[in-house]
Amino acid sequence: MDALGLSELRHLKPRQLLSQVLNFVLILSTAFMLWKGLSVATDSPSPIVVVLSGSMEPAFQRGDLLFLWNRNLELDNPSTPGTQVGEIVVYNVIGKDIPIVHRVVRKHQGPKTPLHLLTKGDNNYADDTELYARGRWYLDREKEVIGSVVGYVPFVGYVTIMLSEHPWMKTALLGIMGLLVIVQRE
Amino acid sequence: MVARPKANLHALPELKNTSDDSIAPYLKSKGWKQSHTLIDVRLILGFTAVIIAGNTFYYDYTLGFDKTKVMTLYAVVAYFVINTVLTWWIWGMEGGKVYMGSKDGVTITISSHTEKHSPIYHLKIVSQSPGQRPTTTEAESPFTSWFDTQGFLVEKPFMTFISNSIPSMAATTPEGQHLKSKAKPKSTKKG
Repeated sequence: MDALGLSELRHLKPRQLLSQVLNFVLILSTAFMLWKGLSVATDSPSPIVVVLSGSMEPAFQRGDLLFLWNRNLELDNPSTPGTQVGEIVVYNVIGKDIPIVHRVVRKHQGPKTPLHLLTKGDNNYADDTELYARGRWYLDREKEVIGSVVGYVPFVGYVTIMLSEHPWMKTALLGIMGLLVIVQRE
Repeated sequence: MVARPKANLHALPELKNTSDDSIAPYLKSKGWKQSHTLIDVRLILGFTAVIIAGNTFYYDYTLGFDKTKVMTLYAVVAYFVINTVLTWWIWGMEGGKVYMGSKDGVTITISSHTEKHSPIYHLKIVSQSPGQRPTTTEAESPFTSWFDTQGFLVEKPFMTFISNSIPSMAATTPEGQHLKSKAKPKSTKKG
């Protein structure tokens, strides 16, 4: 027990123990609240996404990190430009959880009625009609689109792709982090 | 003191922390009652913020983003306000203080610090007897006075140093008769 430094735990008083726990938990909760803060500021449920496929090459590669902004709906206000044809948007098809990053090629209706968009990946031959929910030929800007792309950082997101495609890496990463915490206590 | 405290002789923060941690048990054995106000406030502030974050996570997870947008906004603002207060509390109020306690009406606050790369333990003790103005005492002693060559903290010289530095103890405790520390009492006029 002594070698691991765990014997120290026996002598820690409750306040000191709570203090250590607090320090650790504060890191996690601050990271989470920063994410939520960004989410509320951009009005998007997921303000930062990773490009998962090559359907937007050469503009975006697999693994690029995209920053989204969702406050341009062009609803009830003809003077604000709203989402334009040619913009790149990210959407989740209702029922599926994978974000798709494609370009707007056509728009229907709006601003008084729900804005409908047709999208297509730059690197794809056909438009996205096949990907939409059954019986639908368009996207609802308000309900399905989670934002338009306003900036990006290349390559950085590849780590999350690796982690989701090779789940053993998550365990390995957590194991290493846990080891570092224990060793550093000494 | 429980299982002999040990520190890495080459790591100044460890020497300081081990010495700091040894003050409370010693004073407790001499009849001082420790006041936990500083750390209690820190814990309350900290865990309130964490609970807010936890609640935000729970509602967002179960109800989805759209329904919880407004609540999340308030939660985020509240969280960072509390965190700012917490940071100020730790830096401004706790800063350096390692012990607060009282005995027989006398209250003391002990702060410690070390200079970079210098193995000397500096103590500042603010002591207030009932009906008198608080006095500030400073004391210092190299860590070598109470750490042996293997890094274990030796109780006797450490206890002597502490009791010599606290004015109300220096005169009365038997340990106060030996090893003298360079205590320089300073009267302060602030209430």
